[in-house]
Amino acid sequence: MQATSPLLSSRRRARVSPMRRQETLLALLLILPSTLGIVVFAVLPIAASLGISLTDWGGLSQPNFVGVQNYAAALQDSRATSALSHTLLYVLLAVPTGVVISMTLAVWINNLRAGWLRTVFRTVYYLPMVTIGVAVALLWQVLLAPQGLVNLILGWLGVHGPNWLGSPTWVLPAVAVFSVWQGSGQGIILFLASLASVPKDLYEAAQLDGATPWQAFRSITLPMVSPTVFLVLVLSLIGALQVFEAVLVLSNGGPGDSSTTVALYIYKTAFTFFKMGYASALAWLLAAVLIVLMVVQWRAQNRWVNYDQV
Amino acid sequence: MTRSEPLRSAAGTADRRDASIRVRTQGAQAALVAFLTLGALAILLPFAWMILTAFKTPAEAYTWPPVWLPAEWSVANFTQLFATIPFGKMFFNSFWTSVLIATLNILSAAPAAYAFARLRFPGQGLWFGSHLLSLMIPWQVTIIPVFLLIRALGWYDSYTALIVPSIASGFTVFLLFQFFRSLPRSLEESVLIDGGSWFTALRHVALPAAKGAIAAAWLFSFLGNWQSFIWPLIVLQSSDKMLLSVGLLSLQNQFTVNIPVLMAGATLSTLPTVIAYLFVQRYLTDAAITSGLKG
Repeated sequence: MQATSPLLSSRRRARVSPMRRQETLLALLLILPSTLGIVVFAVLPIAASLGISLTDWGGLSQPNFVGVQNYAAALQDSRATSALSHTLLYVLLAVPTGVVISMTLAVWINNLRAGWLRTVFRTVYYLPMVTIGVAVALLWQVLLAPQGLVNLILGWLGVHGPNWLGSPTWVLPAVAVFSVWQGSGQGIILFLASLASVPKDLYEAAQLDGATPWQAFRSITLPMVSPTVFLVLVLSLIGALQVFEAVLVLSNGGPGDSSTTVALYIYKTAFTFFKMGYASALAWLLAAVLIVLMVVQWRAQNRWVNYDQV
Repeated sequence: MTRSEPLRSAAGTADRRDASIRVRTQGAQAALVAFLTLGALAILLPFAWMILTAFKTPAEAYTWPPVWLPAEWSVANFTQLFATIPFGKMFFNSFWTSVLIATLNILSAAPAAYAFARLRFPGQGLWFGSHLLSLMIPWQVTIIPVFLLIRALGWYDSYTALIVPSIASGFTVFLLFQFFRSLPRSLEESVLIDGGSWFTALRHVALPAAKGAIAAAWLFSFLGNWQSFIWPLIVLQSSDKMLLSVGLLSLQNQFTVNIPVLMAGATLSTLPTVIAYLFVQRYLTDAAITSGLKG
């Protein structure tokens, strides 16, 4: 990252001038409070978590070292693997939908001529992002009830809606709908910022060549905003893989275990059943999935993301 | 911050927009507005439903097909809400802890962000990397050791447990780091050339210039803490210390059947931030864009 460039140049200086020493002292003083907090509450816990994951610690009793036993057990644990498949299904339902919807809405907003309308729509779509998650999840629990607003509107369209949160089949799609409703505002404002930076003369040139709006979108807009598509994709992927609050409030992982996601399973393992060692191992497995996905994404982006004009 | 400039100026001249291939005819514009209004309804209708339900009687809330308007606008649900959980206390708890944590975030992050962006010192990459690492590691990994640490220190069920681990924020540092890095160096250099120290440059040049960015970062942090759920759920237990987010969940457990009271609670906890947001939305979305685009 760029942050390391000053570091590199400082290595080149062999002599330490008084000015430089003063700068170092000041810098260390300035970063001390923040760095102390980060080290104590993030860096050391990461190391500790790895250690804990190799024990059978229940949180109270004396921990025993059990090696990789927790990791081996996790791969055999049918509740863990089904939590993983629920999470992946949820990701498949929520992430592509969210990206496509926020992209579409952003392009539409960007095409509006009246500036005040753009502001109004952007503000409205971002609204759910400033609410307390639990409050809007409770609201959606009411909306998704068998006799709720969602089924009322579906009824107008001639569709007999299911008992969303009470059905093993429909509970994850319902949570995905809620998440898209709650989260697309984030994608929209990122896409809007990116769309606003697309040079206008590109469109003029395309227009002179007789391009249709769709062609202009495909060959100008999409390549120009592809870094943002990638960014929104990665951000929502990270969020969706860790989905917790929405399932806890909407369905508490039910009915049965049908909406228990990995994050919820880890939470319950640690804080309901106090299996701290096992939960830590599960957390590291989730972290590993996240890291692998990030690497795959990072490699894939070279094929289709265009960074030339950024 | 530079990224958000085009967004602001995009609200400007219409003739510039005409030059681009856009959906330009009156009819096409009307169609766009229609589609976007449909989308906006999908956002707003749930909120309207929440507010309307908060004024209904339980019987009205269960009628099928549902009734839109309560026959009588009664505040009974709100009275019952306050009688059931210490809503006012929870609201206040959420408010002051969020203000305090956001302020501590800024106080610890602004100096650090400046040092990382402007100064050169040994270990810089390592310490900055630690901040980035804290941003990237999923919370599931760190929450167990931090919880065990808090309990070992005897902080469980205290505000110390809530506040102290939240003082340092990798996110706020990163946000302000991006800002300080985008600041032109020339202003500070003139201070240094005049014989001023880096500290003078920070106090009299960089910090005043960063007012807007700091305000945005503070708002973002306040909102994050206002919405925080998992950590307060784990470390706070007594109901007089509970925050709003967790308190609402306890309402669900007591009122699985009484939807109107639940919606009264949801309404009262949602409206304040939504109204505040309408006033500061530009700052907030600017911060969201900066953090997202550069992240």
